[in-house]
Amino acid sequence: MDGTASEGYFERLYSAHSAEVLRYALRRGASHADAEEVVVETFTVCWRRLNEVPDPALPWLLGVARRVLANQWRAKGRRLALHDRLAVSGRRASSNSADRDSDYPELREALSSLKEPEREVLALVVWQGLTHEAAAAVLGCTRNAVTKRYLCACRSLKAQLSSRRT
Amino acid sequence: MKEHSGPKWPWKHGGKRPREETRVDDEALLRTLRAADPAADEGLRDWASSDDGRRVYESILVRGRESAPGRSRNPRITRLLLVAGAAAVVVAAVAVGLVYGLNGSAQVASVTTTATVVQEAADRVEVLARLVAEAETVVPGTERPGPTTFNAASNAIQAQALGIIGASERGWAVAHGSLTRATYASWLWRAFGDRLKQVKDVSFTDLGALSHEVRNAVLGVAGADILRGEANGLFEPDATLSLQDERDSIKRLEQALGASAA
Repeated sequence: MDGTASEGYFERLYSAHSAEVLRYALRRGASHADAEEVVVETFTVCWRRLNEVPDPALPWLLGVARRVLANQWRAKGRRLALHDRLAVSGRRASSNSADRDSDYPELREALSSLKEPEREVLALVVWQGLTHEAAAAVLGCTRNAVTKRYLCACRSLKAQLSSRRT
Repeated sequence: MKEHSGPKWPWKHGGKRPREETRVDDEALLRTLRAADPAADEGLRDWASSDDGRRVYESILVRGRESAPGRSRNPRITRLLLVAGAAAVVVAAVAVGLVYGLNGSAQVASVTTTATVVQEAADRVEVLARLVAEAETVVPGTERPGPTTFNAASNAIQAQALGIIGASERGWAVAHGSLTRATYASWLWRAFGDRLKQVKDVSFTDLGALSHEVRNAVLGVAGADILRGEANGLFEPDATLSLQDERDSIKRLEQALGASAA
């Protein structure tokens, strides 16, 4: 692929999938500004590794976004810890989850009681609409593992919801 | 009579494993979950072509143009660049007095420090730089610092790149011979000038050879009592900045910034 063709291909990838990457980051609890940062990092990696991007590209991109988010959280954790150490009352990055929490409070509580891998798989399968196979590509595990985790998450969620209602 | 004559676990011997439940019957649960999607906003559907989406795309292209598409950097070079970049940020912050020797384990790094320590120090720089710039440069409606936030650091990085400043083993910025008092003053003024208040009238007789910009910087920094002149009415702009001057100026700078923040 020459330079112009590469740029064209990259732009098509961006147009097709950037919104999904942004949504993925939002669904994982990032603020809008952080989610945009995830899009920037993810597509920068995509640009540099354009020859390695498989078809379909979305699971690969979400896999990259997942690692970018993990790095972001690690860095943020260090920064917040540092804030505490410096005893500075600076403003902390606010999550935009406050608005969302006002809707479906029971469901939010139940979701927050799930383990992170279970929440993650629910986000990919239910919200992102990926097949179990594609979710496995994102998570770097087998399809069976995704299925198992998904079922487990649904059962736990259902149990949590029914226990809260009774 | 036994009900099952075959093996207890038939699938372990090539038999078919009983099928597990592979779908969730509770459609109501899934419907509720879908409705609670935190990113269900319809406006995000066309995000890529929105103003925000195009802005992000442009910033990716700016970053991407550093390397041709599809060409990864050599990982060793990437690591080297990361370490060098982090080290430059650290040294920059040391130099502008944002960071120095906060505690034993966090002595600001010399350039040869390990990547982890450098990264930690770089995080510290980011926090402090945000705090310094927060009041004036946070973009309304976001948590992001505005484009001027890191001007101070970028000036200092440039100074580092030119070999003007370095870092001592004690975590102090140390001026090499080429850093003059005038250069240091102009550099402080660029970084903090808009936050310094004049506390005394100053005039020096040896600023004639300086450019207008540097002269203003010297008068500003000296007027804010950050970097003092000599008793004989001279500033000695071409003299090498001494370590003592640097230490004193950083302490006064801290006090001045603290006072202006309060």
